[in-house]
Amino acid sequence: MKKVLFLATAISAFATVTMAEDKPPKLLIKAAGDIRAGTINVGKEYSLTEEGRYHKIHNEILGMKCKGCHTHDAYPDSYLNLSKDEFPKTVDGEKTKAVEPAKCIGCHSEGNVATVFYNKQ
Amino acid sequence: MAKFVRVIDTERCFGCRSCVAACAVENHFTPESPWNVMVEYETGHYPNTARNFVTMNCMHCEHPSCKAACDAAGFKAISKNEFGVVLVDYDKCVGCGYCATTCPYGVPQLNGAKVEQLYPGAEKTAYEQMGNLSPLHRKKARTVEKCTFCWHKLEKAIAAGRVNEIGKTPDFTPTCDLVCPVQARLFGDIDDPTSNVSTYIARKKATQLKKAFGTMPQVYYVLNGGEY
Repeated sequence: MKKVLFLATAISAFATVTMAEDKPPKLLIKAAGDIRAGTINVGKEYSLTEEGRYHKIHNEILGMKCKGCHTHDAYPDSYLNLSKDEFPKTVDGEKTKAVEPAKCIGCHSEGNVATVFYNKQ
Repeated sequence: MAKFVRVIDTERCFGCRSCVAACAVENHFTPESPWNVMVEYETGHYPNTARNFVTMNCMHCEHPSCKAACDAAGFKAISKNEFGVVLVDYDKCVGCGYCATTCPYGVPQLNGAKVEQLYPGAEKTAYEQMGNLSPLHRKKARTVEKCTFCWHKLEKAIAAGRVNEIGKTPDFTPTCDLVCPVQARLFGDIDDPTSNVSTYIARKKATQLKKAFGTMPQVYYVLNGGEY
């Protein structure tokens, strides 16, 4: 648990630096590798709930704040997204704001730290 | 091998939503899990304004991020076949929703614990009462569903050896593309340089949406205001 807390704090501190640098910091690379290898336990629940792996990885382990991703109350009219009318969703009585997928490109593109979903060579 | 793409001309589309209604009937999509929606918005400043209509369905990407996420999670419920169609295997899907979060176009629709019918609270439509025309028409709770390019029609053409009629014969063409009253939608083989879609894309400079994601969508748009 201590290891996870240390990682989250350290990675969070590096997050701003990551934006400005071309190369991701070593700690972020290590965390991503450890999550994939199973060295860091993120549970087995594949779901988008707060208890699931998805939020555990991004929020607890990588230290990303809710507001960092959930920024939009509603997408602009001209935003071309099939599901844009779903937001704001109500989850457990709280409104969940929309996430703009563009935020994911940086880490999830080929050549970066996270599992590659975008810009495959 | 043929590779099927769709072209949507937003300069011709006037927002009648026939394609949306046709898809709902053909594929029994429920209001909670739409397969085809119309995004409508205004651009410009008075007096120079325009109303824009963009229908969105699955882009059947060449490098689908939904499939990459599903594979990475180990479920392998999403496949892309040799004709370029991205399909969800409802028996393998566990409803984790990872595909829905990674799709740049917000396409995959995750069903809740209860699947509603087309008109909740009313009698099932005649079409719904016919039962499942194909495994892809099953409605399953906690499962992801999305546009299939009307695969149940395409596979009939393939089985009959009539692939060259896809996009031309009504039985072998996605229903949304058939019903457009102003021919703003085309469907065909992009590997054939003489096909309707190949020539239209070239002539009208059709492009894909959100190219920054590098997923290489197979739905092309003729857009009013340049690239999006």
